[in-house]
Amino acid sequence: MCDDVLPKDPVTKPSTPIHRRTQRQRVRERFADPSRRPGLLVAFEGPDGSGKTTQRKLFKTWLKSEGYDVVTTKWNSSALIKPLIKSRKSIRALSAEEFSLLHAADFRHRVEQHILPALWNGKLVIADRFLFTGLARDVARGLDLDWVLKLYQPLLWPDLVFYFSVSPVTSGRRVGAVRTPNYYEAGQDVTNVNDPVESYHRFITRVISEYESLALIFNFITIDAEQSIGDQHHHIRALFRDGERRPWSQWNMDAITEWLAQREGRP
Amino acid sequence: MSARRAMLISVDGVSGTAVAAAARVALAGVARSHRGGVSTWDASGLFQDLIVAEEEAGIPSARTLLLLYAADLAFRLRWEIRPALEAGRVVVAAPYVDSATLLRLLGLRPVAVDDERWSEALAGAVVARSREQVARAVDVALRD
Repeated sequence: MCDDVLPKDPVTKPSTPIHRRTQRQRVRERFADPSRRPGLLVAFEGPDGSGKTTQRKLFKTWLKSEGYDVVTTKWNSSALIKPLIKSRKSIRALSAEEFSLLHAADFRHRVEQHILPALWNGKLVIADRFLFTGLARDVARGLDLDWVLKLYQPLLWPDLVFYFSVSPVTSGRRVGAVRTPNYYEAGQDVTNVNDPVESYHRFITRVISEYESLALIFNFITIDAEQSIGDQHHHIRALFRDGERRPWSQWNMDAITEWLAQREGRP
Repeated sequence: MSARRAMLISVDGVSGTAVAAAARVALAGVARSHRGGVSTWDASGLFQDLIVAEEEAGIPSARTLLLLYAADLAFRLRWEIRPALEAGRVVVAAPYVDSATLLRLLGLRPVAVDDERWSEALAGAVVARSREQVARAVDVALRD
């Protein structure tokens, strides 16, 4: 990760109101400056088997051909936290709360180590799953949405969220064609159904229901993932062209300011 | 109230050695058959596992550590604290309330604890500066 353009402020002292104001001003200048290409965060969301990884790869190839500096981040991929989760999943040791908390920790670590530094340096970040995956799955496991949302604060909102919509039947058919869903993927920790395929169908039905609610609440761009791969890709290109021209919003100010303060040793 | 009632005793402090010693003192005042044990930090092994992570994995921020702490506390509640309380025993959580305070700052609460017990745990806090004070506080609580 290129850190050399991350500015240091050798004059201002730690944790003063003036310093916090200065940081917020720097964030504003960084992301709202019309003379430079801003960092952009694009999230691909949807249930397993919705084809979002295929679309993410096609989208990345196209963006690079258009001259964008692209970084990809995937769900549950932090080098620090992923091994902790993997070892506990393998022995089926996680409760719904622990599952939720550990995935939130993984997400936070990636936000601070990869996503925000890339955005600060003007890169385009494609997230193959974002915090909405945690929300949909955790709520499908029976946790309270407000409780789960707090784990992800301060919230970092993508500039665009593409939601790949498929039916539970399609999701189950596509996943079943290549593998048997594993214990947590099938939601067997909460369905108490022994057959992973049957459990998956029940669990993914709940997950998709939560996704549909989140799509309305958070204004996702819904892609009909039952369409052909080519049609979806061209649709995404057109939607991206419209979306990237949106002005930078203040929504992410708290998350970026906190990260900046940490990076400079000023909590 | 019966002297055999379930009880959650929290012990907190900045010194790990002092916290461990106070936890032992607290439990020593409880009849052996009534003891539910001491629940200590990192029972889940999460932080032990972090030690072996490669340096390139990056240093976790306070917020990331707090989420891991909450995951560890959820593990302790599930496997150590709640089972002891449900069996009508006295369990010492060391540390406990400090973490609860930190979690509150983030608006978090381990969902495995019901509100009533959570409030009891916070309201029953005793500040002790000596082994005698710890033993006396436990003795008084058991006689109540």
